[in-house]
Amino acid sequence: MKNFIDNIRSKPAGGIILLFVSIQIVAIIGGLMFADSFRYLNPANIAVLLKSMAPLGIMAIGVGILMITGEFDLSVGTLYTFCAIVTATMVKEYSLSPYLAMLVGIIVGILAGLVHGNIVNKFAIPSFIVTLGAMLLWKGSTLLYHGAKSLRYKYESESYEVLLKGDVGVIDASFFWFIAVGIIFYFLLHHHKIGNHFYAVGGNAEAATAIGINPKRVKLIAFAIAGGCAALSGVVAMSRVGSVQPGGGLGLELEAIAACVIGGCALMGGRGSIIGIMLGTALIYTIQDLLLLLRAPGFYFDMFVGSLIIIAAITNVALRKRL
Amino acid sequence: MKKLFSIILATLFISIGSAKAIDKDSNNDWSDIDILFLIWTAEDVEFFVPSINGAHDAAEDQGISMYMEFGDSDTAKTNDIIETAIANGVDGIAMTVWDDDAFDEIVCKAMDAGIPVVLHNIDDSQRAKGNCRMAYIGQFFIETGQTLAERMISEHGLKAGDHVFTPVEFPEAVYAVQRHEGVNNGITAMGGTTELLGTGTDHSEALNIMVQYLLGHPETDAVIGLGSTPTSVAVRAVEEAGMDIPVGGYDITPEILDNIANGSLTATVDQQPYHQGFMSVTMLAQYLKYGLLPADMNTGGSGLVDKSNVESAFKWAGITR
Repeated sequence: MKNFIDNIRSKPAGGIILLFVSIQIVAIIGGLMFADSFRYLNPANIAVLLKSMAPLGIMAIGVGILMITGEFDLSVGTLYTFCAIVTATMVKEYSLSPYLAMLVGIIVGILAGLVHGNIVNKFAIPSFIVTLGAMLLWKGSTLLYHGAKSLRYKYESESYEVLLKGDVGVIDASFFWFIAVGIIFYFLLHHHKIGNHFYAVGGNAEAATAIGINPKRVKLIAFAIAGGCAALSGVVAMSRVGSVQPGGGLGLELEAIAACVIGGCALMGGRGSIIGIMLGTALIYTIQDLLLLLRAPGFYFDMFVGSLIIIAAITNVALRKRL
Repeated sequence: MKKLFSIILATLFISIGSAKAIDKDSNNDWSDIDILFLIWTAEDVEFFVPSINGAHDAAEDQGISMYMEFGDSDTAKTNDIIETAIANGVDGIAMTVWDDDAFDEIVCKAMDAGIPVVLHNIDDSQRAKGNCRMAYIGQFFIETGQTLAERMISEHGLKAGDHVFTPVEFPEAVYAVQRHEGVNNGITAMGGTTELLGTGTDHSEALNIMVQYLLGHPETDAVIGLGSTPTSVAVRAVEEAGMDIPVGGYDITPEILDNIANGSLTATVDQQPYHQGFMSVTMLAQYLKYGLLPADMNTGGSGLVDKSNVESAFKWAGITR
């Protein structure tokens, strides 16, 4: 058993896997023992827990890949809203199919990421500053494009209802999108040479250049992925609630960075994994869910969530360091 | 010829009548009066669209100049904007006191400099005693909270021991504290309990956290959203939690109106933001022009939007409602 645990801990996301599984075991035992008062295993609870992870999780995957290359994108929260509004208006005002409109929204997100990356590369300005400016730029662009009114997004189509709003048992369509994005980027990051380039550039850009990697090109790709994931995240969230608010999304960029750090991404780049990022996101929402099921006082709720996120991050680091 | 003459005469009478009704001093040019209309949040908050429309309409009606700034929910930034306005010699300020202490000095400084200040949307919790402002145009939060609670009790038979969930975007904000106080007064008076929970303004995030709360509190007997975000997603949250309990709330959004129309939401309190913008600018303009003193105004009164009157709200939502 000890060897098994040590083996897991030696993996890149070993700490977060152990932490997440431990919390799940405790919660499941609690749910079985106190089924009436602690409804963790209630199908409705499992459903909302899985639904809640998807938008932040998809965004965090893009943010995490960018962090592995040593860069940040603080504009993903406002870009999430801008791209969702572009998608909704494509359907409502230009009568595009929701899938084509979704593609347009994602392309806008990718282009935005490319613009951010180009500015960072060309002018050697820290991405923190460039994307801080971009955060305000996309926030203002949303108002310029649509105004401050919320936008309803309902599309009557059988395939759309299944692919973006349907469910299989307790698993919502949005969770399948999250898993699909996770699988795609898992193979890209861990089984494709571009993944090695991300780690190499984030770990030591000069050494990466010395072995023939073009750090600017690699970072540009990472920025584009972050922008595209932010856009998809916005569309998934909008489809879930059936509307989009121009003021929404702000603050999600920090939650996404938190999910990545909890999941083992290094702030300075060069370290991180897709499984870690996905479990980091899942852990944030599990903590929130457990606190609400345990009846933490609502007025001080953020204090409990914040404290437990810090404790989770410390535990993750401690588990890794025991190697 | 006779018919043409009649038409010209009628048009002339109507024109003269209208001009008299609209403006008794139309010969004066008041465009040199410059008013700052300050929104306390960022510019992307949907709630303020009717308020801004109202302020613009009032400035146009009064023939004055008005410019708009946004405080981004930041007390320091808001103070800086007002300080700059005072230095620039603005003639009047319409603003919001969303923090009981942060604006006390700056409002007094403006008033001392001879610049009238009228509040809109949120007042000091001590009202006129807590701040130097001349008047407040907005909702009286505690009273409306109590009205809504009483409506929910009478319509749904809430009784002693019942629990009411009261989610709100920012539990620490003055509007949240006072609305909760009003709702809580009504609910505790009949022996029930309430609990606040912060939802933020992102609808997707708000929906998740509200469903999770309801699953963790299956004894909940009603939901009263204290702001537009939780009220917009409350019906959906109740459905996703597999419950069948009544919902009420505050403000007007397309989702809220749809839910009132289909009977899944009992009633909402409309604080009439158009009036808040329109009347605050109008009162400032008329004070500066004629010395007419601004007075407090409870926009929306204690009226609720429910199934009986939802149609007119639908028609004008996002424009004047």
